[in-house]
Amino acid sequence: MKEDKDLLKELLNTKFKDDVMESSRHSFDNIFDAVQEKSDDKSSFLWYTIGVIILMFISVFTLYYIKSNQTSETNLEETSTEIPVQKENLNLVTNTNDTISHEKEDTNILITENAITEDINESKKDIIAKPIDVTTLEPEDEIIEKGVITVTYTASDKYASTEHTKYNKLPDSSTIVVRKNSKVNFTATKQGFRRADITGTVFLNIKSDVSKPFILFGKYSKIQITGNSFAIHSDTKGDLLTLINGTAKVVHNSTKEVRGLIPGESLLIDQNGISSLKKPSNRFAWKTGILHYQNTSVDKIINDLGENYDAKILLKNADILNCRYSGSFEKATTIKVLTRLAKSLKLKISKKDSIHVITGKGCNK
Amino acid sequence: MNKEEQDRLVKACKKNNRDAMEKIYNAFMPRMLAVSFRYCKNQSDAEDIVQDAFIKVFKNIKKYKHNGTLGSWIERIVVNSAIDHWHKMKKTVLIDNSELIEENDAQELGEIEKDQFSKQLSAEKLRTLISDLPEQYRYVLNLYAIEGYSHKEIGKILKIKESTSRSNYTRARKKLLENMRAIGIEKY
Repeated sequence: MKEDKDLLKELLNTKFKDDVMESSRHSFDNIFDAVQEKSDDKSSFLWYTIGVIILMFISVFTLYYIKSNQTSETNLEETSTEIPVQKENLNLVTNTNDTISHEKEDTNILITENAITEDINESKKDIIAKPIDVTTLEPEDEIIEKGVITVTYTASDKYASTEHTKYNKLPDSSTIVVRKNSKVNFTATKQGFRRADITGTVFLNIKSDVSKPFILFGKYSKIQITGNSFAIHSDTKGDLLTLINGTAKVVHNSTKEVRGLIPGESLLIDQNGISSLKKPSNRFAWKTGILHYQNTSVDKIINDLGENYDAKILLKNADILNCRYSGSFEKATTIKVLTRLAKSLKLKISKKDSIHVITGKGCNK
Repeated sequence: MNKEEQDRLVKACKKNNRDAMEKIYNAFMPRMLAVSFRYCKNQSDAEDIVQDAFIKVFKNIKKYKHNGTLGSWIERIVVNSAIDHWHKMKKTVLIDNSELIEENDAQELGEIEKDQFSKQLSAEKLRTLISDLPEQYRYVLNLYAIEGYSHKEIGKILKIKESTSRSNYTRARKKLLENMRAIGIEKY
């Protein structure tokens, strides 16, 4: 037994010692850009920090100035109205770990510089009007310059899982859910243009605003929407879209083909063009409740359950992964899918703590 | 690429020189892709891992102390990126075959058979056979047999039990040998 182990190790090490492989894509440009991004981030962080320090000085100086005016008892009423505004401004700048609610105030201040006081008051109203079930999270990155706001949300397991799903509120009050390993880069301009660059899987509930078109940028397409609910997945292989309600217009980046979407419709946009899908992607089952399989391996099905419902599954026999299943689910849940699989593939399911344990014979490849 | 040339390029990379970075990328990418592919089911995932790894390489090039070879330093980053990929995908499927493994199940690989495989089985084919293994087996096999980690270390790295790592390795070895022999039968 020992000899066997050593010989296989030896064989693998000999075989792979100088193993090389040709790449099908040349991605150095992407790598270099990503490396540079970090330096850009650093420099913008430096400028941001300098800006914060300057603003703090201005605020302290203003407070000092106002206090001096109070002591000299001149214009008492006017200056006293200014104090809260400046304090608010100071709080926004110093408390960088605040939630988006506060950052929204900050962004409004910068987008419409001429109406500082009014905007703060409006932001306050927005915060009060926010539904209780919407939890805001800290954006990963925020860069503000010349009336443009960019907020980046990167989802980690911590807040992308189903059990602890968090709804992020964008600065324009649209709501998004960023799924595991996904990223949204949101940009709003003074001119009223709203843009979201998507990587991975994201659900959006766009706040209707005809004057400010909302455009989603996927890898292969641009999707212009007004007010609606939308699921999108974008990666190097293609963009998957499902419109839950509202309307949307899709434009292919290279072919310029245009396609309108109606609620319930799903599209795949890749290098070949735009094609309609009969069913929404299984990636969106968390939202749509729909899972569809055609001679699909149990391996893939179990992964879908993990992606959508945080299912943890323990197989007592790896050969179960080779079994294949065809069928559709509406309002799918982990237990519903596993029960159907067990019945069809003659498997047994039990549950130990939060883990579903599957035993059975399995299938050959 | 000799050591002097590597050192010169690393120095230039530390000054953010694009050409130097591209030269290092072109020189090491084929090797790193082969390493990464052993952990993946398809080439696209392997290329994603290599891309992430090279971003880390150039972002952290200042930390490279010239102790070991540049290639082995990059290779370690590629393996770590593959492990990150494992955690990123958050394993839903846990495999515990301990109940099913019988000690006498795996037939021994003899010296003669090993030599035959060594001569006649290409690295490319062997890579594909490893890729066909279930993910957890594949990671344990690579980390134990090729990277030289102990089962205890693998348990910590993959956040699985040490005993699971052992049983996964036994199962992976058995499956790989079966598949290698299946190809051998057709070939000879």
